[in-house]
Amino acid sequence: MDKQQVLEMLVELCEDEIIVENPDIDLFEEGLLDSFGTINLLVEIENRFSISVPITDFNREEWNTPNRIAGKLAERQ
Amino acid sequence: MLRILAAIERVATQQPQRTAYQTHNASLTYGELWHLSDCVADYMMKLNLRRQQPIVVYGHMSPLQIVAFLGAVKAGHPYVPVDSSTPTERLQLILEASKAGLLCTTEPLYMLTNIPVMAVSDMLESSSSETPPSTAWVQNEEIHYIIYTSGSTGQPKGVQITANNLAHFVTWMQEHFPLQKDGVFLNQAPYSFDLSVMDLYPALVGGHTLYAITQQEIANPKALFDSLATSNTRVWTSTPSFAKMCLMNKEWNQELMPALDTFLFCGEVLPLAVSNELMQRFPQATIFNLYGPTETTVAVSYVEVTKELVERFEQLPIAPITDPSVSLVEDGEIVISGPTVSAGYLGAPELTAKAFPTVAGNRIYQTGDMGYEQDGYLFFSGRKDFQVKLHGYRLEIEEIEKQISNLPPVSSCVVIPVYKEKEIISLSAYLVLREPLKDSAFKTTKQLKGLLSEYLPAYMIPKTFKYMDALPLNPNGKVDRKGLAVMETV
Repeated sequence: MDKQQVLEMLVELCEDEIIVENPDIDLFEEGLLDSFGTINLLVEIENRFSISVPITDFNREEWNTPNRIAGKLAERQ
Repeated sequence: MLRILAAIERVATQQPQRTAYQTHNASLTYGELWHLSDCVADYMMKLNLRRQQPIVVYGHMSPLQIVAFLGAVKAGHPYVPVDSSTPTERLQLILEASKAGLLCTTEPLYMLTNIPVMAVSDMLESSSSETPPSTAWVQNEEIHYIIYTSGSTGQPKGVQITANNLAHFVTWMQEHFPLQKDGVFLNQAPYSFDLSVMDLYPALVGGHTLYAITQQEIANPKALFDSLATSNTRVWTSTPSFAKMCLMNKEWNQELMPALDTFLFCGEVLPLAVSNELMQRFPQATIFNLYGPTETTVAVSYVEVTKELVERFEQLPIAPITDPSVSLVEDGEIVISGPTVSAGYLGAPELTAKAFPTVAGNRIYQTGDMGYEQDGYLFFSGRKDFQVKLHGYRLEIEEIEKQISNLPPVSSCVVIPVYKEKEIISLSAYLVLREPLKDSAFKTTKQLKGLLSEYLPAYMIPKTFKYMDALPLNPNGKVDRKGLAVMETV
């Protein structure tokens, strides 16, 4: 898994190219992800990268930007 | 017939220390609920409002919300619940349309209104705590609550539920579901959504404890599951979407919630996959799929979801065809009759007359839902109009389109539901702007969503905005919704 793949996944989930243009954008504040989107995100992460993130480990403040998500996933590989 | 307030009073007198309502950080006993709602009612009565003048209650899951609801009906007024996620422009519309006499709040609200605004906590302080007479209570054909739902004209519609409607509904719930046994009832739906009535009144009338989870918890999965684990919930009421979201957590199962033995689902189609997964994870629980629109008091029919039913059909039925309150008319529309058919829309006699005709001496409600019969059951097959359900919320596509088209930069707009495996997962808006895009599409979208959020709640705002030079037309010269919809299937 590289960062590019994470960004591609997020572009598909959020349906917005802004993720590539600005990987520090706050996905929740900008309304790109909502509660249901969060769940979809965890499912996609598992499907694409075989990384299982328990929902109870998902802290919004730490998983709020594309760069942070990529960093968190790199830690778990 | 059951009298809702008298039944709650009985619990409050006999078991005043029992917990009536709880959130992760607040709780209320039956004794407190009864006394505080008396204080609120006393305060309201001294305002000399017109009998039955609506009272808007603004806020989110908290003990004082329930206190305000009961206080209003004790003083003879219907309450209009408005969740604090509601944009101020929409709240303003509701205040005007309902001709409310008072706006009660349990959360800070900064807006100018033409009517008195009072925090429920301040009402409690300034009350003389006289007990209002039970003769003042809302009764029989008087209106108990009014819930605003999305309206295709661009204006929300206020559905008026009478004391009798509610009493019949609660009695029906008690007769058909295992609600008598002691236990905690989960309250997931915000109060502006009538699904909340399904847990609220059966729990209070039965002397049970309501456990309310807040939107804040739902937005933070860790807090949500901590809360669910400590709630000791026995009866679970939610939209199927909410349960589907919870199922994504592999640890959400009978072990986490050992007391859970009843699932009540309503508000949208319950997918088979969700039922199957729930049966495996919660072997002790019985699942019920309920059906009914706000206009006929929450729900009117149900099926118990059994293994046999799940294996037999590709979609769950919503009622046995023997159910006396739901039936199909010639064109396949589902119509509802019986004592829970509401008093109609507040201040909209024409809309009411159209949707609630009298047939052979009986008032019925034409749901706009289409259905079909198969093997002794009734199934839902879609809508006659552009109403959709997204995550359990009822939306009128036309209302969203009107609000977007009203934004100054927008010339025209259509909104298309996005389908994935036959379920609506989001909305897409196709817009034509008055002037060509100046900024990036993202910036424009952000700006338009910002403007829109003053008029529409977040769940009604389309997820994606796509800009076009002109909307595509079909050969009849109408906007080609079908063509756009094909593009939006993922």
